[in-house]
Amino acid sequence: MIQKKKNMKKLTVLIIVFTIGFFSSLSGQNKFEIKRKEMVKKQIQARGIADKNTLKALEVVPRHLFVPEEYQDQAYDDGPLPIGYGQTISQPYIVAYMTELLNVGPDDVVLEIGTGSGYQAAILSRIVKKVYTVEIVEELGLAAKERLKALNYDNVEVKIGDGYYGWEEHAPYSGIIVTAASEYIPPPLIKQLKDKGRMIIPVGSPFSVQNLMLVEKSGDKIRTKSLIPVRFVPLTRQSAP
Amino acid sequence: MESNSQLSLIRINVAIGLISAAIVAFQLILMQILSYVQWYHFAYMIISIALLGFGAAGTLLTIFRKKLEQNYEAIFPFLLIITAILIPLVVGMANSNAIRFDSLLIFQDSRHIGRLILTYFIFFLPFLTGALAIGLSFSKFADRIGKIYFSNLIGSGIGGIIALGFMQWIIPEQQPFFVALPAFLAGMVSIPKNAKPFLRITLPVSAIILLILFFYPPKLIPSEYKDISKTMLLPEATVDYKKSSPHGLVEIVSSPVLRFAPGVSLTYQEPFPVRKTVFNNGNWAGSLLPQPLKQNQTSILDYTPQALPYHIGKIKNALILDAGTGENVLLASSHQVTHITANEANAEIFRLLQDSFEDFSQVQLHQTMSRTLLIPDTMRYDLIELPVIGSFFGNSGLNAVEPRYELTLEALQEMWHKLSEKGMISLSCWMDYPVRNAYRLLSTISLLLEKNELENYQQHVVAIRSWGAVTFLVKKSPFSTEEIINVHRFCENRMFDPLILPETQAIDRDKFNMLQDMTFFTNVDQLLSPHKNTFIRQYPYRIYPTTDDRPFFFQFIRFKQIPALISSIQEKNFPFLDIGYVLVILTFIQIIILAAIFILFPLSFRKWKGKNKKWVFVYFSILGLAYMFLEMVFIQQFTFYFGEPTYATAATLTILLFTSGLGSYYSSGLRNTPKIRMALPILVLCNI
Repeated sequence: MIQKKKNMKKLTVLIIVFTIGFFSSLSGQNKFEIKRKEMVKKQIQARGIADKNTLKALEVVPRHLFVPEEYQDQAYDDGPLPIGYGQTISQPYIVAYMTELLNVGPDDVVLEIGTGSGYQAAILSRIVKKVYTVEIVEELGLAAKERLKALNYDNVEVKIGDGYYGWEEHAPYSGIIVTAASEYIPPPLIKQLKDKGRMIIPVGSPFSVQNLMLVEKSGDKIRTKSLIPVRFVPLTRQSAP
Repeated sequence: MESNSQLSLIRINVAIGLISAAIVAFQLILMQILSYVQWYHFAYMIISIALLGFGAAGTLLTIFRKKLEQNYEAIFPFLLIITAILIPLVVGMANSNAIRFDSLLIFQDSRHIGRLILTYFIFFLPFLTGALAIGLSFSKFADRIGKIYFSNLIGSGIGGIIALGFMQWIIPEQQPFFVALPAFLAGMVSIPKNAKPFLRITLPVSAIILLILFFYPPKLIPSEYKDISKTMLLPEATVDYKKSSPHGLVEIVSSPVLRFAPGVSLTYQEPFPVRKTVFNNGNWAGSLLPQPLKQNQTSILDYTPQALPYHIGKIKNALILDAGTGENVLLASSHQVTHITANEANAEIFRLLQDSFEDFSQVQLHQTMSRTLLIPDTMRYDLIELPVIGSFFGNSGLNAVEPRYELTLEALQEMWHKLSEKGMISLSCWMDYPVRNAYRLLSTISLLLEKNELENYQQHVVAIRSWGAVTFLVKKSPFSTEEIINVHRFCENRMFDPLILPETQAIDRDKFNMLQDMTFFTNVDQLLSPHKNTFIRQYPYRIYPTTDDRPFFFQFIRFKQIPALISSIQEKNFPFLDIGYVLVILTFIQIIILAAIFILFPLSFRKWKGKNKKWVFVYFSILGLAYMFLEMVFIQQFTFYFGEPTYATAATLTILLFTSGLGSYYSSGLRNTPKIRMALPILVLCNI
């Protein structure tokens, strides 16, 4: 009898622990979901991003799973975060801005140079047919590959390699995002861009707001456009007397 | 006095000299180490920490004076030995994974603020123990203070010189060990013959610890955001060469994917060259030219806006300032410039430059600062070229406290006077957003032309723009029609856009490289118009020309911007932030707080015993301030000549401390006589 009571007590404790655990994990998920929706509303839509595909992708991709554990609570804050190896995951708005700017749809194939955490590739994978992404830092590339696989982003392919050469066998691409910017624009990437295709390169040091460089190809002609994220445009405009 | 102490005063003086040398040398090598693992504005932090150590030692001495003096024979050598162990130990601790902070993460991750404070505290310890040993001797031998001061100050002065020697000959990881040696020797010298057993044991034990630290030196890991850290992540990246000097730690890194094509035109279709890269203190310092260099070797820079001067007229005589590894020299050489003069201040990088151009008879190289070269030079040049300003990635304001004497109005004025009749100054910068570099350059150019009272000074400026950079040319005589046609042709061939041209008709400024709007063009026009001062005043950033008195080219922050800055910190983003500037302010605030905790707070428990409390306080405060002001002015002035804060600080400390030591030595012989009292106001007047 005493043994039965003891067993019952143990069972009750186990059920309570399990229930608390279950609901707290649910509320954890829920917490991030709420934060994500808020992020899209306050940081993305409020700043003029209107592309439905981009907004939807940002709403569903769990950004907190692409940042180191210690930064998960800050994953939906309005800023970049360190991901190690001197790299950062871009500010959510910059990711949204670049995605919208790429102007791609469900039939397009996109190349990303600089996989980083894999977040940008995950966002794009919700919009396009296929994402090819190249990362030169082996540790980062392997971690991103594993993460994307675990999260079932099946239309993303990760390669560890030198981004300078792009990924010729799957070219041409409708869009190319060079997230790991360097002081030059590699000619092979321009060659691998489709006619009327767009290449986007963010420029800026790790924690400053980035300027975006848009490269457009039209036949043999190439044009660049420097795009300043809207956030500080009003300040510079005020300057004109 | 020897009756009171078993140690002879000579031994004490020697020990004081040695520990003082160790402390000053430690300050300087710590500045160098922090410049390598972080960025160099933390160098200023070290001076504050050292002074904090001295202040806190004074407080401890005030509170425990009697006890400390009673046990002087044991405490003095013990403190010296502890200082010796702490010197290499704290460097290792501060660079451990658990404590190491990162400048760029301070505003991102609050843990790094804690780590920064912990680093202050750790570095503070050897200064505290060393200063306590010195202060205790001052107090114990108050009647011989002149001689003790002499040893202290002369030792400190020598410390500045030996630090430079260590920086030149010893790798940074081993430098703390060698700096600890004089402190350890001081401890050995000061152990009395009849020392207590614990002191006798301390000596061999500490010797063993030091030896361990010699064979297993602290590993110095640069911030993961520094150029070298990112480069070392590339496949097969290896450090081929490493050499320390007071200018910094020069490293050469190779990797099969390390390419050099800075801002190259999109019309360049050849594969980009793979080059070894040179880093100074972990920062990109240039790309190593292919060896051996051929006379007809072309430069990839010919496909950058920097090549403009060579495409609009014949250059016979060029001066390449701060040539670095020599890519701009190669550019000039590939355009058959018959006489090329170039300078580089960093001895190690200069050696690489020399190696590259040893077979080029037309190239004359000088290991000196740009300004030092310019002032006595009597040559006339068709082209004076400066290296590209800023960085492709922006610099997050990390260079905000770095003086740039070659970019001041006075420097440009000197260059202007060295130009031949058709000579040009070429200034290039990477585009930064919000735009600051280009506007500051143009405002300086504009003022330069105004000062030289040129008629139609707009006729003397040309600028072009690529997808990432701007080049300004300032010409002594007006640009001719033919030259302007050549500018157009060069732009067309390279997919660059003209930005400023002395033409009356409107020019197409964004044919190849568009901007989001016309603001940049409007602002450029404003800076060349009679309304430029209004624009400079109203622009949200400081873009007025820098001068030799305020040579901080990269300091753009205005005080009225501080609210925006604070709000950007709250949002964990730094669009308007000069981090370097903020870090200096942050360091200052933290030091004030720590000084209050370690100096003032303990003193509040102790009552003032002497007379004239107010005047003593005023006297020593003013004396301290005078020293600090002199130090700051000297460091800045010496930086102008040496071009390197480490040299400048070493020279300043050596001179100030050495001469103060001499003053102390002679002051002990001075008496309060009417003659002396008469001489004082005259001395003060002479100083003024």
